[in-house]
Amino acid sequence: MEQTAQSKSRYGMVIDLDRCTGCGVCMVACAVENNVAPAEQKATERTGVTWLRVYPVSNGEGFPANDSVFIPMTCQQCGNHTPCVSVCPQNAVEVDPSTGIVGQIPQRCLGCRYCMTACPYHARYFDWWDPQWPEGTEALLNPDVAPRMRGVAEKCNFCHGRLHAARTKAAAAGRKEIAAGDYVPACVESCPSRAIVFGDLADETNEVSRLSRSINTFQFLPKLGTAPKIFYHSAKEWVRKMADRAPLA
Amino acid sequence: MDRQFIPRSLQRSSFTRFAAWILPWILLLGLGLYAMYLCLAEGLNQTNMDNRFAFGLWIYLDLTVIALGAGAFFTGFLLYILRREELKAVINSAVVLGLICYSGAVAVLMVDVGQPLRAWFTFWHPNTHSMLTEVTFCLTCYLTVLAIEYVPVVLKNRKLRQIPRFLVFEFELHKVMPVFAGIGTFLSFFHQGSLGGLYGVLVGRPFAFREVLGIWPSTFYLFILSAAAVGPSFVLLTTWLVQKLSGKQLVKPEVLRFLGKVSGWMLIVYVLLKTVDTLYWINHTAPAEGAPAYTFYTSPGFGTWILFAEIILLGLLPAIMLLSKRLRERPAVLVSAAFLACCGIVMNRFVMTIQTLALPTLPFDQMMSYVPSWQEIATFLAIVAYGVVLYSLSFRYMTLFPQERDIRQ
Amino acid sequence: MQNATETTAVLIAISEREKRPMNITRRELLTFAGGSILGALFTPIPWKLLDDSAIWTQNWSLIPRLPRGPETFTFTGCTLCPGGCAVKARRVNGHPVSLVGVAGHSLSNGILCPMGIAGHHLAYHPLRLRRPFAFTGKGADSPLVPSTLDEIASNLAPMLKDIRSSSSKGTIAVLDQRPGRVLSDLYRKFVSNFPGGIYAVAPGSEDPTLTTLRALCNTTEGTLGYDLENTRVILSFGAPLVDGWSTPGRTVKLLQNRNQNGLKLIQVEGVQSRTALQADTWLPIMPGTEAALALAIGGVIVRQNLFPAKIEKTSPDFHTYKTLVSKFEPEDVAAVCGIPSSVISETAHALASNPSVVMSGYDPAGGPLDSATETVIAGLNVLLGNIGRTGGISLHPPIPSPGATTSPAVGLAQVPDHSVRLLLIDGAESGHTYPLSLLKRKLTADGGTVVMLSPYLSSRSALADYLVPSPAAFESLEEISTPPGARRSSFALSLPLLKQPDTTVDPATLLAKLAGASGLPSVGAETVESCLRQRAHDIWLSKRGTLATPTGSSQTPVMAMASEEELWKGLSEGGWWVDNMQDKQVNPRLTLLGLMTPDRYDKASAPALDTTGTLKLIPFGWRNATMTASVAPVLSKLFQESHLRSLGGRVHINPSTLAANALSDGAYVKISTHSGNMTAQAVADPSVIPGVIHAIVGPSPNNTASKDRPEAEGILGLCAVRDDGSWRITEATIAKA
Repeated sequence: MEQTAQSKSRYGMVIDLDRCTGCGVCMVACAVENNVAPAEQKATERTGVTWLRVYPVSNGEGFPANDSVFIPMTCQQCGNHTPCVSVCPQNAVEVDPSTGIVGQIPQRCLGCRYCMTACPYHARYFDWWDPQWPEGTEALLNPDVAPRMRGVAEKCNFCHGRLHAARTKAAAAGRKEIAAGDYVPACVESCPSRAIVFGDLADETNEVSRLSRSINTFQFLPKLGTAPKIFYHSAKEWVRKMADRAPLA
Repeated sequence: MDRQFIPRSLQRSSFTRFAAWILPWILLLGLGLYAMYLCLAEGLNQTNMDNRFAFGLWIYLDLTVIALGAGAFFTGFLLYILRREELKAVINSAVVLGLICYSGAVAVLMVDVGQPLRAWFTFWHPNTHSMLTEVTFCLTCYLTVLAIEYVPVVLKNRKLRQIPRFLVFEFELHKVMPVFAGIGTFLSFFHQGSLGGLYGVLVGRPFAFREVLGIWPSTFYLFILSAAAVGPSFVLLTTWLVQKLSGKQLVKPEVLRFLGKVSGWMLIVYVLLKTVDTLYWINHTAPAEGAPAYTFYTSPGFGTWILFAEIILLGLLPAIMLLSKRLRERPAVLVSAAFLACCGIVMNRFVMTIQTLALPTLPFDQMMSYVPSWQEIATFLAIVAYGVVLYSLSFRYMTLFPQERDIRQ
Repeated sequence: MQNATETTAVLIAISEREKRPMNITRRELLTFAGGSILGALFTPIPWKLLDDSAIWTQNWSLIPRLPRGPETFTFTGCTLCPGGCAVKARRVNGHPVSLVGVAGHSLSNGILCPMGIAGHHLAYHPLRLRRPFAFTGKGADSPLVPSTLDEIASNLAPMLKDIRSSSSKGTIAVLDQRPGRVLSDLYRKFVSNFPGGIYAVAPGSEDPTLTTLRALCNTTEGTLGYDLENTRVILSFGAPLVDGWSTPGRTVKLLQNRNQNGLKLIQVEGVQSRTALQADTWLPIMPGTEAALALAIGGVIVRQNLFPAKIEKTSPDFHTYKTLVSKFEPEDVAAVCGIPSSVISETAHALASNPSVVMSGYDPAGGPLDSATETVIAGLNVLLGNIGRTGGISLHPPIPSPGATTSPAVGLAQVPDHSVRLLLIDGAESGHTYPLSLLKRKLTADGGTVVMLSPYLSSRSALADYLVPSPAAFESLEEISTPPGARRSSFALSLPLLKQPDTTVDPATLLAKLAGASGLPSVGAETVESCLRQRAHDIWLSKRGTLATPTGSSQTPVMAMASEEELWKGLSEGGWWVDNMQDKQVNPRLTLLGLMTPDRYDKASAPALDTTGTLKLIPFGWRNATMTASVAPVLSKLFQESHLRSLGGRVHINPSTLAANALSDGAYVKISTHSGNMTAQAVADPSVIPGVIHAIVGPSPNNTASKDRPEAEGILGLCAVRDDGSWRITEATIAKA
C-alpha cells in the first residue's frame, strides 16, 4: 500500500480512444504473451479471463446518430492507496517501488477474491476453472510467464516478463538502466493504430508524460483518489462526458 | 435407550422420535456435503459467482450468521462482565448457537476460497492493513474461545461427569470462564467490526465506502452495534422456537424480556447512529467519490424503499416495540419484534454484500444480477442442518437451559 | 575365573530385571507425546512440510510445464488470408511462442491482425485434421471414417478416367480460394487436361471492384491495383478497410496518418461498422440501394461536368450512361437510400476534385453486392478517369510467370449449374465464406463427388466426400503472393515454424496422385516447394524488382544478384520481393456499364423503409472468423469472454425494428426465409439500420462441430442465391421462437 510518489519510475499508458478501432488484437496478444488459456466451454463474458478487455460503449443515440467508442480497460496500476494491495489478506499483491507496477503473486493467492471486490475498474480476473490448453499448445507457451491454476486471481502486470528480459539485457550489456525500446508490453506492441502509448510517467520529457498532460486527456474514476496510471484521450466530447458521469446517472 | 446420557430430571422424547426428527436434517447435511465436495473437486465454477459478483450467497450468509451468532459473546459479556445473573438461563444455549454460527461460517469459507490449502498463508504473510486479515485472525481465535466455552457444557453431561478428571477440569475451567468471556468479547468486537470494515474500506465502491473514524470506517462500529443489538434478539427468538418445538418452557419469562430490553436499547442506539451515518454518506461521502447517492437506487427492485425498510421498518419499529415494558410483556409482540430486528440485520448484510456488487462502478456498466447455484444453496443448507443437528444433540444430552429443571411443566 | 563368575552374575541379574514388565504410566506416555510435539516444533520438519504443501499447490499436474531451451527468431509470413503480413516469430526450443508484425516492413508496416497473432496455435485447433478421411454420406450429420491418400486416389480413378474421355456426365473442377499463387497455376494446368475442365475462383478471393473493372477495361493483361498511397478520397461501399481488407498494415497506416497525408475516407454502409466509425464520413445507406447512390453520384458528376472531358469520347457507352443517370436525381435517390441529397452532391464533388478511388468490398459472410451494383460502383472510377492515374487505379505487371497457363478462370457463380461431377476444393482460405447452396448447385444432380483439401474440419466440409488434410498454418513452406488491391506485384515465402505431421498432404502431391490416377502424365511440380522454386527462378530470370530484408534495412535489386540461389536464400530468410516494372498502358476505350443494360437499374425497386413484415436478412462476418474451425481457440477472448466480437448464431437488429415486431433484447427469435428457418438470439443494436437483420456468421462455441462432424452452416443456409451468384440480401420474417 505504499505511495509511489518516490518510485524511481512510474510506468503508465495513454490510450487514444479515437485511434482504437476495437479490433481486439491487443487482447489476443496479451493472452498469448501471458499464457492465458482459451475459454472453458461454459465460460461467459463474466467468467472469462481477459487481463486486457476492450469494452464497446455507445453514446445511446438511435440510428444513425449512434456513435461508439472502444475502451481498452486493463489494470490501472493505482498508485495511491491501491485498493487491491490494501485488502489482500496475505500480501499476494504488491506495488513495486521501483516501477510503480502493481504485481500479482498468483502462487500466494488464496483465492478469497476480496481484491476483485475492491477493484472499481474490474481489472482482476479469477480462474473459475483449471486452465485448459488444447493438446499440444503447451509447447507454445511463453517461458517467461508462470501459468496459473484454478482458484487464484490474476491481472495485468504490464508484461512483467518483458521488463525482466529488458533488465537482463541491460545487465548483460553492463548498463544499469533499461533501454526504453526494450520494454514494450504486448498490447502496445501489437496495436495496429498505435493507440496505446507506454512509458515512464516519471520522465517528464517522454511522449507518455506529455500526452498524459495534454488537452482532452482524462482518467476513469479520478474522484476515487486511487491515482491510476492509465490515461485516456478523446477529442469526442460525448466520450469525455460519459467517462465523467456516475454510473446509472 | 439413551436415557443414561440425558440429564437427570429432564424430560426428553423417545430415541425413536428423536431419530425421526434428526434424520431429514442429516440427509440435508449429506446433500450439502456433496455440494461442498463438488466445489472443492471441480472448482468454483460450480457456483454462479463470477468476476463481477466475486462474493455471493456464501459471504452474504456468513456475515449474517456471524451477526446473529453475536448473541454468544454479548450474552457472555452481560453475564460474566456485567454480572447480569439472569442470563445464566440462556448462556449455554447462546454459546452453542455461537459455536454453530461461527464453525459453520468457517466451514463455508473453506469452500469459498479458491485454494483452501493455502488458508494458513494469512497467518504466514499477514497484511496488517487488510480487514480480511483481521477477520481471519479474530475468527480463528474466537472459534477457539467458543470451543473452550462449549467444553464445560459438554463435560457437564451426566455420563461424562462421572469421570472425576472431567469434573475437576470443568470446575477449574469454570473459574476462568470470565477471562475467556472477556477475551471472547474483545475478539468479537474486532471481528464483527472488521466484517463491517470489509466493505467500509472499499474506496472503489462508493455505495459501501464510509469515512474513517479513528482508524476504522464507520461501518466497523455500526456492525459491532448491530450485532450486539441483534444477538440478544436471536437468542430470544431461538429460545422461543426451541420452547415451541419441544413443547416445554425452558426459561422464566423475565429472562426473555430482559433480552428484549437489552436488544431494544442497543437497537435504538444503532438506528440513531446508522441514520446519522447514512445522512452523512448521502450528502458527503458518496458525492465526493463521484457517485450521487440517488444513482444507487434507480434500478428496478432496488429503490429507496430499501433504506426505509432497513432503518425504519426493521430497525426503529422493533426497537420501539422492545423498549416498551408493556409491549415486552406480551409474548407475541416480544417475539415479533425480535424477529423484525433479526430481519433487519439480514437485510443490512444483504445490502452491504449483494447490492454493493450489483451496482456498477464504471460509467458504462449496467446494474448486474446474480442468482446462486444449487451447490451454493445446498452448501449453506448443510450449515443449517449441521446447526440443527448439533443443537438438537446439545439440547438432548446437555443442560442448555438450567431453569428448565425448576419450572414445573 | 572370578571375573567371569561376577560378570555372569551381573548378566543374570540384568536379565532378571529385564524380564520384569515395563511400568510405564499413562502420564509418562502423555508427557513423552507432548514433549515430542513440542520438540518437533523446534525442528525444521513441520515448517518444511507446511511449506511443501504450499509448493505442492503450485505444482499440480494440471499446471502445464513451460518450454525451456534456446530462444531464436525467425522471419516468416502469415498465410491465413491473402493479405500476407510479415511475421517475426519468437521461438523457444524451435517452437513458436509468439508472433508479432515486422516493424519497418514496407507492405505490412509491423502489423498483424488478431488471427495472425495467434496463428501458431491453429495447428493444434481441436478441429484440425491430421489424416485423410472419407465421409459416409453427405451433410453435416454424416460421420467420418479414416482413409488414405492412395485409397482416395484409387477410389476416384475410374471417375477421373471417365471424365477424361468425355464430359457428358459432368466435368472436373477445381475451386481455388486463393488465386494468384503458383499453385493456382498448377491447378489450371491440371484441369486443362480434361474436356470442359473448370478452374473456378471462390467468392471473396479477389477484390470485387477490380474484378469488375477488368471486365470494364476489357483487359486480361496485367493486374489492377489501388494507388491508395497517393489518393486523397476513398469512397468505399462497405469495404472493411480498417477491419479485414487486404493487408491491414497498409490501410491502417494510411488512415492513422490522415492529418499528414490529407486522406479522406467516405464509408457507405448500412451498419456503423468499425470502418464506418473511423471514416471521415459515414453514409448510412439502406442496403440494396447502393446502385441508386452510385448512379446519383455519377449523375451529379455528369450534369456538372466534373469528369475529365476525354471520357465522353473514349467511353463507347457514355451517352447510354448519361441517359441512365439523368433518371437518378439526388432528391429522389435520397428518399430511397436514406442519404441526403446535399451529401450525395458533396461526395461527387470530393471525388471529382481530388485523386480518388471508388471501391466496394465483399463482406466475408455477406458476399458481393449484385453484379449490376458492382458495375456502376466500378464504373465511377472509369467516369472519374481514375484508371491509370496516380492516386487512382493502377494496371501493373503481374509476377513474372512465363510458363503460366492462359486457360480461363471463372468466378464460382459463373460455373454452369449441374456441370461438375468431381470438385476439388483447395484448402487455402480466402477468409470469406459463402452459402453451401452456391456450391451445391454446380454439382451434378446426384450430388457429384467433392474432394476437400483443408487443414480444418469446417462447415464447408459438409458437402465433401473426401477430406484430405493440407498442412495447417505455419507448418509448411507456402507462398505469399500479391495481396488484393496492391499497387505492385510482390512475392515472399511463408517459412514453416512447426513440424508438419507425416499424414498431411502437400497440395501438389495430391494433384500428382490424381493425375496418376487419371492416367495423365505428370502435371509438373510434385511439391509446393518446387513450384515456389520455379517462381523464384522466373523472377530472377526477369531481372525485375528488388528484394528487401523483412525490416527494410536493406534492398537488393534482382538485377544485381549473382545467382538464383542468392534470391532464394534471401527469400528463405524472410525477404520480400517487390516489382519495379513500369505500369502497363490502359486500354483507353473503357466502358461505364460493361455488360449491364440500363433496364437493370430501377430506382423504384428498393422497398420502402418498412420495419414490420418483411425484413432484409444480411449475413455479416469478420474476415477469417466466419467459421469455428478458422479461429484459434484463444480468440475466445474476443468472442465468448468479452463480446467485443459477436458470436455466430446472433442477429443484430435495430431496437425500433425489434419493438415493431414485439421482441425484446436477448430474446430468441425464429428467422424464416424461402429456404428455411432457424433460431437465433436477437441483440438490440442501434448501430444497425432499421429493417435489417444483421446476422452474424462467426465462430460458435456451442455449435455441433466435433472431431468427426462438420459444424452446421447456420444462417447462410437461409440465404437465397441469385443468378449472378450474390446472396447478400434475402427477404425474411422474424417471430418469437
